[in-house]
Amino acid sequence: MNERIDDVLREIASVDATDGFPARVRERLDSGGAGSGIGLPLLATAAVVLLLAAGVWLSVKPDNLDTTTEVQAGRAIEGPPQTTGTAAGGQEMAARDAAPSPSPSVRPARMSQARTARVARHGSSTPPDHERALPALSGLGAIGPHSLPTVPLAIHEREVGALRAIEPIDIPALDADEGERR
Amino acid sequence: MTDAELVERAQAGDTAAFGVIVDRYQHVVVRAAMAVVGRRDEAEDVAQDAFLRAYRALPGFRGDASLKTWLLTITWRQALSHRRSLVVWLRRFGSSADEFPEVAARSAPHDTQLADAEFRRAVSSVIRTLPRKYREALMLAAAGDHTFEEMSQALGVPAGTLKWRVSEARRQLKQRLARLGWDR
Repeated sequence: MNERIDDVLREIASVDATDGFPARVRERLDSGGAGSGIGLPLLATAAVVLLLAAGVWLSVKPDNLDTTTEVQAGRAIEGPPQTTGTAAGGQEMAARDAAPSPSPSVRPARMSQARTARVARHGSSTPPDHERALPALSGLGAIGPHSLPTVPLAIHEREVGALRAIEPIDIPALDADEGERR
Repeated sequence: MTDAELVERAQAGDTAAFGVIVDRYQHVVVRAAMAVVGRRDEAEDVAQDAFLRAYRALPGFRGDASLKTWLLTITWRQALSHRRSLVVWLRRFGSSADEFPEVAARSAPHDTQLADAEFRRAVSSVIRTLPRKYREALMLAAAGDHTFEEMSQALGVPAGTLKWRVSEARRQLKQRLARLGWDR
């Protein structure tokens, strides 16, 4: 069995180079060693991978996210500086950075401008949550102990009838061994 | 002409001398590549690349090891690099060719040929299932071109480790063949 295995192993392992192998090596030596046969597939593979990566990158670019754009429009007026954003957002940021800080009297006008810009971009005049005014505190119902309903404690108000004396009960006397006999 | 003379001439720019080296060691280099990549066409590609690398590295060859061992070192590294490359992985993904294909049966009576072909097919398929390090050592040793000392020097693995890998590969091969009914 061992010899049989050895024979087959030797036959499998002892492959010879095909005819013309030295000539092919010389040809590649003469051509400067170029054309190993894997250069073109490697380039094609790299190109495909780059295209796929670019496609994925473009599909998740912030331009395609409406909510991000809307938040950026609001922040361009009164929010903190953005580190990332769209070209429009970047322009607004640059304008904000160049201009002096808005005074309280200027802010309503700026908010109005932002709202107009937002309507032009998205066709909606509904302001984002952070721009909506809070309702007045006076409009809220008061919450306190006086608003709790009073619960009648009826059990304490029930009248208790007069106590009656219990009449004495006559218990007949027993003989000394009467209990044991029963 | 000896290897040393051929190397000296090739180092001086004599490409014909290097051609003689290619003629002399083509089979040895292809077999070493075959032990790693397992496919004949890829083994020839690796062997060509290995000879080109050897030609470029020839000025640095000092003769510390024999030319054959030096070529084995270059071929082995080239084959490992080839097997890890993305292009090869993609090429194999779309190919149905097997590693270590069965060899053709020798001339023999018809029934013996059939049994031999069956056995060769079983051995080829079991070789493919062996752990990579065992399989590589087994196939390189089975080619019979190198001593364990030469293999040790070229691969950077102790000779004792290589001997153990070959022995373990043979034991597993025999065991798996027995499971397939080839125990006699």
